[in-house]
Amino acid sequence: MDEPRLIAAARSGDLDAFNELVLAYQDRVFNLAYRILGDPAAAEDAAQDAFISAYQHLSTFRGGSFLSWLLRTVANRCYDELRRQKRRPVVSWESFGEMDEEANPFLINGQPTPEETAQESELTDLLQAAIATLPPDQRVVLILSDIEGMDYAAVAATVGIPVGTVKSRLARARARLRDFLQTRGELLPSTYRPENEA
Amino acid sequence: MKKNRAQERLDEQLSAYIDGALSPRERARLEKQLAADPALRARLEALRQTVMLVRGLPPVRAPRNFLVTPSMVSRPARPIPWARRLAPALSFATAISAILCVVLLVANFLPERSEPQMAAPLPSAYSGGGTPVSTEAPIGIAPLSQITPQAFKAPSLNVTESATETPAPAIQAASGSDLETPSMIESAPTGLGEGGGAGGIGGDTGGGGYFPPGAERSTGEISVTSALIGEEALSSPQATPGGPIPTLLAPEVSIAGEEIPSTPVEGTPVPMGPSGPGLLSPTLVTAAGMAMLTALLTIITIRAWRAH
Repeated sequence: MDEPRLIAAARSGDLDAFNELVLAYQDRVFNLAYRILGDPAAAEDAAQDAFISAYQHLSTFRGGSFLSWLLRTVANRCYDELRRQKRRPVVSWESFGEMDEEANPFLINGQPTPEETAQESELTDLLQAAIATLPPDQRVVLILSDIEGMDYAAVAATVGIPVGTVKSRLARARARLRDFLQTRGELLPSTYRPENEA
Repeated sequence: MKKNRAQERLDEQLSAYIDGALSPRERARLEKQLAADPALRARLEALRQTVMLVRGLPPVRAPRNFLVTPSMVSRPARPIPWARRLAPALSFATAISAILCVVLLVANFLPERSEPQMAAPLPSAYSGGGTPVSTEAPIGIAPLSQITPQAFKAPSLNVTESATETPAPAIQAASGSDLETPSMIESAPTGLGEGGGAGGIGGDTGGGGYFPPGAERSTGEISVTSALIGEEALSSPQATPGGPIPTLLAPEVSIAGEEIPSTPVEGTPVPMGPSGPGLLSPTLVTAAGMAMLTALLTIITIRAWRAH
């Protein structure tokens, strides 16, 4: 895929060229939206709005990684949505035990054993529930850093905060997840149970 | 709270250590601590496993395609809200209002010219031969032509034109006057007794001076036989700045030989309060109203521009 050519064509109004970019990056964009919002329906809306906004504001793209620019757009949109929301995401601790692979068809996995599948599903749900307990500012930083793999500077540029703030928010988010998982360690698959403090 | 803050700082260091974001000095110090503290090592390990779990979350696939269609990006022309259409006119009105407010405030606080205080005009009988005597007198005292002889017993009173704010006839005292020294005028009205040629009050017998009672001056000059300084006024000080204001009585004034019966005319003490714009002058009130209008228009204009 010749990204610069597609971007140049999209800038001049070629919608088909832009949709090629959409197809290439929509999984990443939706994954980020889903991890942040925790709700598939809300994540769909956020992803669609992000792509529409990206097309309408292509003139603001200054070069570099187009994927990073897209993720920045959807992250900001999700962040704004979280601040507007007064409710917690759909994935709640109470419904954790009832969820299985069928309830989460979005999971992309290889060909594990049924036990591994179940364990992975349980872990995923537990982690998603844990992430949903984080405050929005910590949640976005954690996902951009540990799920999307951005470094401190990229996260700071995406969210619009200083690098020092990224460090502190990330540390607090990780510590809260650690404490959450330790209190519910008996529910984790044995392979993933963190060591208890001495 | 202190313990939590310390633990937060520690977690921040451990988190940065996991990411390799510590400086060499900080890393060395932390590793030294880890080597000596098993609990710290356990804390680090728990944090590291948590990070690994999060990083190991499997990616989710998009449930559908998010292709952008022309209908999504081409919005119909939305009518401009009326507020937005009025925004330019509101901006203009706000600017005009602000300018008027400033102009009114500046005009309100411009210094006013102080005008000399005018004493009561002389009675027509004192004008002598139809020639009007200057009715202007120093602030705070009656015209010299109104000074009566009864009580004013200054040995000499040099009151020249230059000594007073307003032209007054020169008063010359005869030499050898045996007049008693009068009580001092405690508060010299403005223009009289302040430097200049008014130094003759109470002492100066040279040059110009004061006519003894009954003395008459030659034609063209006004003779002031005596002047009365209101002793009552001196003994009962009034609440005026600088002390009591003397009450002067009209003198016997003879012009060109005429004797004019003295008619005591009390000089009207002139209040010497400050002049200037009052606190509630119409201009200030109007300026205040314009300021409020400007503020209101500003708010409306901002909202109109933000309307979409």
